[in-house]
Amino acid sequence: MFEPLDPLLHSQLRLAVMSLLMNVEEADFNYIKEKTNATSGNLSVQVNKLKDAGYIKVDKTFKDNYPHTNCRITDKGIDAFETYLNALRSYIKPTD
Amino acid sequence: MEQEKLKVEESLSIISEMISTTKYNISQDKFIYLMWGYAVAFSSMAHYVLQYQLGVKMAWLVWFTMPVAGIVNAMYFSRKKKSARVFSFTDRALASVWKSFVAALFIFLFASPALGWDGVYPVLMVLYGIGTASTGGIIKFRALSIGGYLSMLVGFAAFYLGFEIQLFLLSLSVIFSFIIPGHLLPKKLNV
Repeated sequence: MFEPLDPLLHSQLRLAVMSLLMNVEEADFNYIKEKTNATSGNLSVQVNKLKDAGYIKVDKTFKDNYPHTNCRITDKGIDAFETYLNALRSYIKPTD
Repeated sequence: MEQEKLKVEESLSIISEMISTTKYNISQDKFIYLMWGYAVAFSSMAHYVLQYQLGVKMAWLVWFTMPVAGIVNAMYFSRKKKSARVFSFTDRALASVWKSFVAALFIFLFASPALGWDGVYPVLMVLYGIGTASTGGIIKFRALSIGGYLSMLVGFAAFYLGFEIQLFLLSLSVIFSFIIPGHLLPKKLNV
């Protein structure tokens, strides 16, 4: 039986952002942009969607007088990611 | 990356790609390992030569290399922290290990009047070993782990030997725990 995949995570860029943040404690916006090869605009939209869902926390501060955006995954985000992975497993399990 | 519906295989490939992209970059700290290794090795050998070969009474002054290295170390990590764009679990684990290492180091240095320097040096060698062996374990770098345990063994031997020999052993301890692993550090490690 196939389990439903969280539509918020089942999208290329949002999944990339979540996978990256699962692996680090926090990362700044430009770092995520560089690692995912995304454009600022697209990344900003997807980051906001993840933030609105409560999957990530976004902190906006100033660093050396420049705006600085830091992202970190929340407990809710970790749960969602794990559920997504478990759902993925149901698709790759060999059928009898 | 464009937004589109994914296939399961694509999802797995994105996840594994993002995991591998956040590999811990250890090579940037190579300088720190080598600086401390050579500073301690050089200072202990200079201390030996000055005190036991040339009879200089204030030979211990060579250890003023340590606060100088400490300042360079502080400047390096302050700059690194300022320019850091990502903070990983590995970063936090390593920072915890080395902060507690420095705290323990100062406790034993300040306890030197009670322990005597010949009692402190072997402890320092064991401490170097704890710091590097646990770092090696965290970043999965065997040379650092082996070097750390060898440094502990050298420290154990040093408890039974005189101060003169301990100066040699201190050099040997940092050659094992800092200098050799420092030179062998690869560019990136999968942590």
